[in-house]
Amino acid sequence: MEKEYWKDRVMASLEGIKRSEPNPFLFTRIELKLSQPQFKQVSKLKLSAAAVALVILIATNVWAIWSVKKDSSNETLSASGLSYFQSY
Amino acid sequence: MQLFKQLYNEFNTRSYNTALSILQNRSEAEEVVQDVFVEIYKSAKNFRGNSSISTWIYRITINKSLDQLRFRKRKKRAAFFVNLFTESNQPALQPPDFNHPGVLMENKENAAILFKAINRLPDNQKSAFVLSQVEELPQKEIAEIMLISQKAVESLIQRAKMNLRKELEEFYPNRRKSS
Repeated sequence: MEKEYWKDRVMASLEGIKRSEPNPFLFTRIELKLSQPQFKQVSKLKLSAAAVALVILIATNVWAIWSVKKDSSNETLSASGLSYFQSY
Repeated sequence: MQLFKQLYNEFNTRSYNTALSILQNRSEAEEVVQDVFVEIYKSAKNFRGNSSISTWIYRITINKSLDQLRFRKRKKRAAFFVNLFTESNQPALQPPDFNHPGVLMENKENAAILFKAINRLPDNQKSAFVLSQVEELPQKEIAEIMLISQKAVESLIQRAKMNLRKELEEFYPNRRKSS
């Protein structure tokens, strides 16, 4: 019973609460913030799209290089094969 | 700028006290108020007049205060992980008890306990309770601020009060029965 009475008093402790005043120089700080140049923020969507495009570009380049290397090694093989037949 | 100053003069204490009751930290509340009025200045042309200016300002304040709370929690989680991997002998800092400067002297101790319990409420209950009990706004206005129905506000406040009483169990001082 005493506990419930204590809870009632705690719950009622905000009665008569007065509004507190913020720092009197707060408006000056707001004016300062408004006067500062804002850097244009790139949106997360654009950033993600750019990252995906970069990954695709790198993957394409890697694949292209790998294909060229594979083709040149095939050509070397066929050239050596041709010279083998030519010797006969 | 003159009109903006007038707007600030009229609404800054309301915004500050709302943020203060949610964040329970004066410097964070002041930061939020700055952000609120910077946003008001920048998006004034987008204000369609669907609600009153006071409702709009309260709504921005609540949203920015809750954002700040989430940022604080993320920072705490990051610090926890850093401490796992570093040899930090620093004890975890407990935030000091919050004493709202506007509370009556005779209620200060109990109010500090109540604010600890308020801090544990879910965001929507916290917002509804603060707007109702600290800002003393009518439920109709709270509903407009939170973009919910009046019935939903009533339900949130009831649940907030119920949860607060449950949380207060932990803070009940172990007193010997007085004769």
